[in-house]
Amino acid sequence: SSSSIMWYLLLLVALASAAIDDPKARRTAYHVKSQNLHLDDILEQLHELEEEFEDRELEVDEKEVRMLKARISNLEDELDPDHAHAHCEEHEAECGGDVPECISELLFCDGVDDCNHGEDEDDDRCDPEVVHIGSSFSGIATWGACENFPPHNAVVTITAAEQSEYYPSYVRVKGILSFEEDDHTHKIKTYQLRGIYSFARHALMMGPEKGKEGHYGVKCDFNLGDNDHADCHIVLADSRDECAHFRADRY
Amino acid sequence: MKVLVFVVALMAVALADEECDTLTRLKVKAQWIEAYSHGAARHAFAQAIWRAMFKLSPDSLDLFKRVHGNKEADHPDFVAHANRVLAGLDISISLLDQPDALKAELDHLQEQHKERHIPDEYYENFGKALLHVLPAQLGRCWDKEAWSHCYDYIVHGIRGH
Repeated sequence: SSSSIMWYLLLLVALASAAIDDPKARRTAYHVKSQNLHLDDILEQLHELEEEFEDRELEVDEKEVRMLKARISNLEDELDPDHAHAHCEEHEAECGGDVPECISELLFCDGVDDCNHGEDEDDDRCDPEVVHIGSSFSGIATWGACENFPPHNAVVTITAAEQSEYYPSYVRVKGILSFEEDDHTHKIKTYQLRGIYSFARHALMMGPEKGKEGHYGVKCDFNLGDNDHADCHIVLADSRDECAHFRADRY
Repeated sequence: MKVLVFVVALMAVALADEECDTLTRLKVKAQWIEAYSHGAARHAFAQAIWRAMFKLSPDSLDLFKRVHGNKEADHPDFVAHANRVLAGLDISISLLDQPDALKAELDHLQEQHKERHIPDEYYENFGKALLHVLPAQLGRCWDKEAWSHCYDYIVHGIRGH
């Protein structure tokens, strides 16, 4: 009858599929699949852990550490009014190595090692990049004397820089100091300056350009751990008395 | 009348020395005291000038054979000599406001330098070196023109032409 033929066919199909799909292979496939799932699960757990770890913000910015160290070392100098621990004489600067050592400011970055470990010729220290042409240092200036301005933006921009081949201990620079005289009309005052950047002092010292008007000078100490931040003062060029102060960032 | 004669005489002196005039001399003298400094700083000042000088005129090292300057710049004999040269410059600059005494000192230095046949170029390069180290020592408070004029005046006295 037709139903027995159907059963027969079904049996054939079942036998055929059993012959193709070897039970052993199926079991292996099953194991591999479950192991993969297991791995996925572990990966997910690991990912969750990583996310949890990232939330803790355990990483400390190397730059921040450098700046903190610089601030501490500045305070060490500042809170030592008798300079009992500052062993450097006038016209001298710290070599900056592990062992405290002072040499003349005149001998930094001149191509001859004068510090015991040659720190005075260190590439980082002697990098004129800090006063690269176009460098601009700006911040909010607060006036303590000289002008009756509310706090406003002050900008120092380097327009020329030149280092002598035979005496490369400093960079001769020209620049512009500008600040907003009035924050309503945005009237800007600008002064043309010239001066030097000293590698020994990490300092930019500028006064009025010859023959140009203005009695202001600028002194910026790059003592905050890197070349992008400086402690700047607008001073009277002749007496170097401070008029205004600004924490400058490079742009 | 006496005052007028005195003023005219002063003007004549000022015109004779043209650019290294009385006030300029006083300025250079004051700035030199600050730059020349003392102790280890003075030694470094001399060192810096000579290093720059020898970079400008490497041949000039041969002149310092007798004090071992041509072999090593740190040789004690040369260091002593380097400081001695600056001491001569110190005397000259210190006497800038006493023309008679300055003349005597410059004549003396001229006598010492005569037989060495030093090329003009070396005097110029020593001046270049000096004028580059000075701002490093003095920062902003120095007058390049004043120094340039008075250095030329002193060198003129030593060279004799």
